[in-house]
Amino acid sequence: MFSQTLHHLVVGLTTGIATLACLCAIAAWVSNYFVGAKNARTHLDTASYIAAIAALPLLPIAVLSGTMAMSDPASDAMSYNKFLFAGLTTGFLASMVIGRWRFGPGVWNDSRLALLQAISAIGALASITVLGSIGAKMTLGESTMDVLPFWPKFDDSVVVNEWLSLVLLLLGIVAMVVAFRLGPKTERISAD
Amino acid sequence: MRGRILTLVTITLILISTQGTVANPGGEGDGNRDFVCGGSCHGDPTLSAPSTATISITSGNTAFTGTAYQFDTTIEIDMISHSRILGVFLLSSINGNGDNPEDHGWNIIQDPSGTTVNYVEVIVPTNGVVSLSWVLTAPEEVGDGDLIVAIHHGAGYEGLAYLGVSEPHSISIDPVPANLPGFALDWSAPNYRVTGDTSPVIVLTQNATEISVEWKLEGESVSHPATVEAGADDEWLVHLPATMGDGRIVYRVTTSNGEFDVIQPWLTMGTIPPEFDGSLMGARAQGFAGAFMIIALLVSLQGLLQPPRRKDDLDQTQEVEVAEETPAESVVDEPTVDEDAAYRARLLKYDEHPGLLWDPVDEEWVDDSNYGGDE
Repeated sequence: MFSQTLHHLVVGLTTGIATLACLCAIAAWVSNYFVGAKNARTHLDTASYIAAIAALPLLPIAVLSGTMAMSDPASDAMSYNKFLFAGLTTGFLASMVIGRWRFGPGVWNDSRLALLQAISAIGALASITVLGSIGAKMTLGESTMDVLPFWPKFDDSVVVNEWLSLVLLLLGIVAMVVAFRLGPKTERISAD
Repeated sequence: MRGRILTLVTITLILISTQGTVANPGGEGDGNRDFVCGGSCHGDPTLSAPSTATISITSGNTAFTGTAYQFDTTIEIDMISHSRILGVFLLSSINGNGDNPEDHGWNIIQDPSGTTVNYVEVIVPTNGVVSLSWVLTAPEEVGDGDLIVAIHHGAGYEGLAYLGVSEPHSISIDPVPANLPGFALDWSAPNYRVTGDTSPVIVLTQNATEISVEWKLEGESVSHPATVEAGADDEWLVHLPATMGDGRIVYRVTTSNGEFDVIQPWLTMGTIPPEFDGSLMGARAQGFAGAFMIIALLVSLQGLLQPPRRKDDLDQTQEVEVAEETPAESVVDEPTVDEDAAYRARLLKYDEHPGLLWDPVDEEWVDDSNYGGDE
């Protein structure tokens, strides 16, 4: 019972903070198209950066508390999808933080990098929305997203063999190491 | 005063609505009911009229005690209400009470809706023909029994209830012959199959030397023969086509032994999705793999999309000037003659860039020391 309560608490925190991070990042990108929005962009960038950093450690706690709250986690497509979308959310949010960390607050001054940051934010926001919607489906039987005609059904999932999942995990780690170690060197971009 | 007006208006509205509503034009739902609801308004001649529908019964007139018996009826109706709802009763009498066949020793195994009641409501199709089947267990006592079909419906927008009753269908209930072919007592029909499953359905029989099976999808009118293979003793492998999604297949077995041919009731088999084969470790690994791959992709894109270094960024004049102002403590070794010659040899001269030489190795323009001298 405690894990369920804890899960509700952590999920609320994670969803709220991550949504704030994503919305601020998207707004910071949009502010590029408004003259005189530099001050606002600075604030949005800071809020987005801090919120994303705060959301990252909360995500695994939310997953763990959710796993503890379920009697048989990942035994059905809906809960399996939660794991997959939690992974995607983590990936997008972490990429957002890494991009901001590598290029500094000036990341929004470069149109291509700003767009990439915004895409990361949109990806994270979409994944969080799907996560929340699956949670609502599991607990309430319905979700506000049901009104959308194109909303996917969550009673189906992409399940691969357990060993293949481990191979994919290994491949992901290798790909990440290669991207960091062998990728082009980056420099901070001037915020002026 | 306002409260009184409100009460008056409410009562008036209730009275008006009851005047405009006769019986239950929206139907009452399936259930166990006696004929004409036990003397309700349908019995009032000012509110009811005889139906012109034709009710025919095509079932056999023999049943064996305690065994399954299928009752088939076809109703042809030429006028129906706007909602097209038709109420159909299966009865053993039309007294108004105790009419349910279950009050006369029968047991309803399955009604046309898949439940176990004697009254069902159906929507009449545009061709006006409705075929319904009940599967019952015959009474345990030998004798004669009657089964009657009664219907009620509306017509157009009139407020009358139309009633129709079939002739009693007499059934002789005989003792079970010693060698009557049928299903094995310990066999139960499978309710579901996994979607796409083509494995044969195993049917166990007793006293049968041969069986034949016909099948159709639920709602279809034409049935198709199924392939049957003999298995072990009294075991038959029936090959039915795979079903997908929410598809339901109905099949009927005829058990024979040369002396008797017994047509068994229609059996229904639904479709269920395959069992979910995900595991917690697989889900975690797949989730982390997704996260790492997204990070790898976006980090690579960040490196590729970062702004190119401009010449201004490479301009280190300031650093050089600072270095010149401070006394140098160490002297960089002069390049040897060979190195210098090799360096000069790789420099390319372009006429359109006088005074500059292109270094293809370092990819930069360097000053031509000979410019303005010899040339």
